[in-house]
Amino acid sequence: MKNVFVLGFFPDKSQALLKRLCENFNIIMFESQFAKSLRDLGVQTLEEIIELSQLEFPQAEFSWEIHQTVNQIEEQLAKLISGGEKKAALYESEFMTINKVAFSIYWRAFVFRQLLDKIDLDLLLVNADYSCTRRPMVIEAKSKGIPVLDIEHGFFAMEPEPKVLHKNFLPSTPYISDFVNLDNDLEKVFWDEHYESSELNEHVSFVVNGTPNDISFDNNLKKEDALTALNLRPDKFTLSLIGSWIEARIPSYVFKAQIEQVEFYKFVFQGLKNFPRKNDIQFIVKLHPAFATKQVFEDSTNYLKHLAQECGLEDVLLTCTGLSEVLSGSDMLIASNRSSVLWEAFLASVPAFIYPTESVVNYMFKKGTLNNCNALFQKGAMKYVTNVEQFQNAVEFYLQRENLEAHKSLCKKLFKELNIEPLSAKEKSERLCDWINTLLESPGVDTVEQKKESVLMNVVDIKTEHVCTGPMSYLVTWSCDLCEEENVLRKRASLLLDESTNCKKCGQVHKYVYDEDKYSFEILNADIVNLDDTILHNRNVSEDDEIYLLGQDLIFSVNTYISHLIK
Amino acid sequence: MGSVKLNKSIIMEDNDQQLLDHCISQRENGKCIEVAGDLKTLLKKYPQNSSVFIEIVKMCILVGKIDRAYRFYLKLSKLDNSRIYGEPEYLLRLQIGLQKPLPGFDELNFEKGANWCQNFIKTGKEVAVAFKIKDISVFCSAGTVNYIFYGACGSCGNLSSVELYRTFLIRREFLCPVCFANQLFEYEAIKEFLQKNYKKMVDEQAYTLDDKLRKIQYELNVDTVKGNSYSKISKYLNQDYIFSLNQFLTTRLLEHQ
Repeated sequence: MKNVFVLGFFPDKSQALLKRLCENFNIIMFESQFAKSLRDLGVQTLEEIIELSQLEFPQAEFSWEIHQTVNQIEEQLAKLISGGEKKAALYESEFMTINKVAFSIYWRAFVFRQLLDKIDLDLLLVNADYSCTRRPMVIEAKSKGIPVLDIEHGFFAMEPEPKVLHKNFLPSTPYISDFVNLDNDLEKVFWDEHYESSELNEHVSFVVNGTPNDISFDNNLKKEDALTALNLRPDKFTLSLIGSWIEARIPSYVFKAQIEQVEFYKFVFQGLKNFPRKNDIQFIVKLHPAFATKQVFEDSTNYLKHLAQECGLEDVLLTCTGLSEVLSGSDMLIASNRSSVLWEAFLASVPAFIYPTESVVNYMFKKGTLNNCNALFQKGAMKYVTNVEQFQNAVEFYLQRENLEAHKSLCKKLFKELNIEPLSAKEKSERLCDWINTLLESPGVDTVEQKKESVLMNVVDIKTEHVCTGPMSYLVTWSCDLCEEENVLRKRASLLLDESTNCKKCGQVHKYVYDEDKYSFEILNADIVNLDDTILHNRNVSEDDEIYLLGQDLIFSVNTYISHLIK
Repeated sequence: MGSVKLNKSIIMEDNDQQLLDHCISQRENGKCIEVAGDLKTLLKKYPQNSSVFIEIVKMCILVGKIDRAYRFYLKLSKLDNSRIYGEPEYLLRLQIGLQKPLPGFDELNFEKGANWCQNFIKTGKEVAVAFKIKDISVFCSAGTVNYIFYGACGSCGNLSSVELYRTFLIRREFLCPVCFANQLFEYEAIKEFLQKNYKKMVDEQAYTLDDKLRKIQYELNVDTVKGNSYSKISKYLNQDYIFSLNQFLTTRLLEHQ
């Protein structure tokens, strides 16, 4: 069986996938992501293969890397705050924060490298390859030519096509895996367009086998059963509000987007405060699962209950769970953002609306493109509403049963037209395993990087680096075969190991192979043996000698100096 | 604040008195859970000391354990015959929580009590006082943004802080750890505070910085695949590099406002 390392999937959401993977492949995982329930399925942990206590962390290498990272952050921070300084120094607490995360992921990548040296890994399978708990392993696997498949957990079919976005919005390119698995063809069109207009074109391939998420919408759940489970009335119109949560990835998300999130709930509830048929409506507020912690849920629900009460809305259910029940029980849905749930609402044939944030209307989309931003909007499966009147009209419209039925017919037609199959997580997992098997069994199928045919590196110069405290490093200067850009490759500890790397300008893959004759690097030749003896002899001089007092660091320095002289 | 006549039937050793003072100080900073163990130790050593009992009753009220607070109050009331046990505010809060008269309550003097007590005694009604926001700190961890709002009790002015996780979707009522007023902290106050004090961060100017960070994220991703400009750790961190940069930037923007 092929060896597949699985990273970032959790048994509560990916049980079906993990089970199928275990039936098809020899699965290896980090112990921290390993569930005992997987033991019976034969999953191995990395820690069972690699004896961690025998490993020595590359401290010096890490120190150098963290030094460079902090320098980069300080330079970028200075540019962002436009203070004119070249660097904005980090505070001690900030350094500690970054150092802590960096140490943890550097160690993980180091351990993963040991695994790659020990076994033949056929595939790295990740979820969300952009996360820092997965990205290091993706980089390490790619550098060894091991194919990487990212299986996404969300849905993207409500995302805008790149052409409707303003120029300052760069293409969205979060993934670097060789292959990214998506749920459906619409998503593929969207991501292909973004990558085609980016510099990562040809580095990532999108494939469609379905997104095998155990807790996504269940097509088999009947509306009456869902309403019973939610303790809601079947004779009322059910309007669901879908909330998001904001990750602090850009400055406006820290305050502005948070304010806009709350304004969404105010927009909906206050929008129906004086609505004549408000008593015909029952509400579900489906908060994001990230709100499920006790304090956050209490704070949020207290606010929403108070707001609903102020607006005279009585039947309001507040929940963080039961997405399938919420979707199956809904007659109409409104979301605060481009939520993944919008796709599932489409699958459930529920009319879906989005109340956009100010940045979407004024800054992200070109004028007049909101409801023309992708195929689903163009065909009327979902819609943006930007003011109370539009929203009230939409509610009024779908309060008429015949309009709800017409929407269901439209969705049915679109499923056929867009080739959409509502498959279960189990069926999608089986498809995925078949696809992986085909990938791994096909001769010549390799990573996207390797498809670009690597060329032999034209080495211009080799310099030694790092005179003290241990392993020698070498700076290999090489010239790109295509664009003649000069690049530098840092080889740690040894020049003998082969390695592939990309040209920083054109991305062409070049392979470094040690060539004794070509490089004429005498320091590695037998003639050096005499010098070795001389240097080592110096370690044994009397204790009064200065050299002895300086210890082995001086020996490293002398050795480096001599190597320069020889060259 | 009100009448204070404490029964210190057992004189505390200096270090224990310091420990009790520390417990009081921590409680006034809103950290009473953290010193629960210390109070338990003091109670074991000084089972007749009313100061320790009072502090335990206050702690129980603040963490919402009204029945337990009442049980300790009854024990406290048996320690001496004076029936006066420190400031009256916490006793009024206990009575409100119990929804029944507290033994000895009629003898308490509220003339110098906190505003909320005087209002309650006059009207029999209680309106939550607004927690007045004075300052804010922001902490991001793996993308999750958390906030600490520093502010003052609308009744006694005591300074304390409120921690918020992930969202401004909040309506929280909590007791002032000093005067036991019911304080209200909610979204509208946050919005008003930010719009007044951090205008640049809540209006469209924030989008210019958004563009710059998006560009860095894009470049980092491209560099990871085909470049050498970023360090290996920056590439490993990827979106957490951006989260961190945004956190550090936010800290500086808050400092410069």
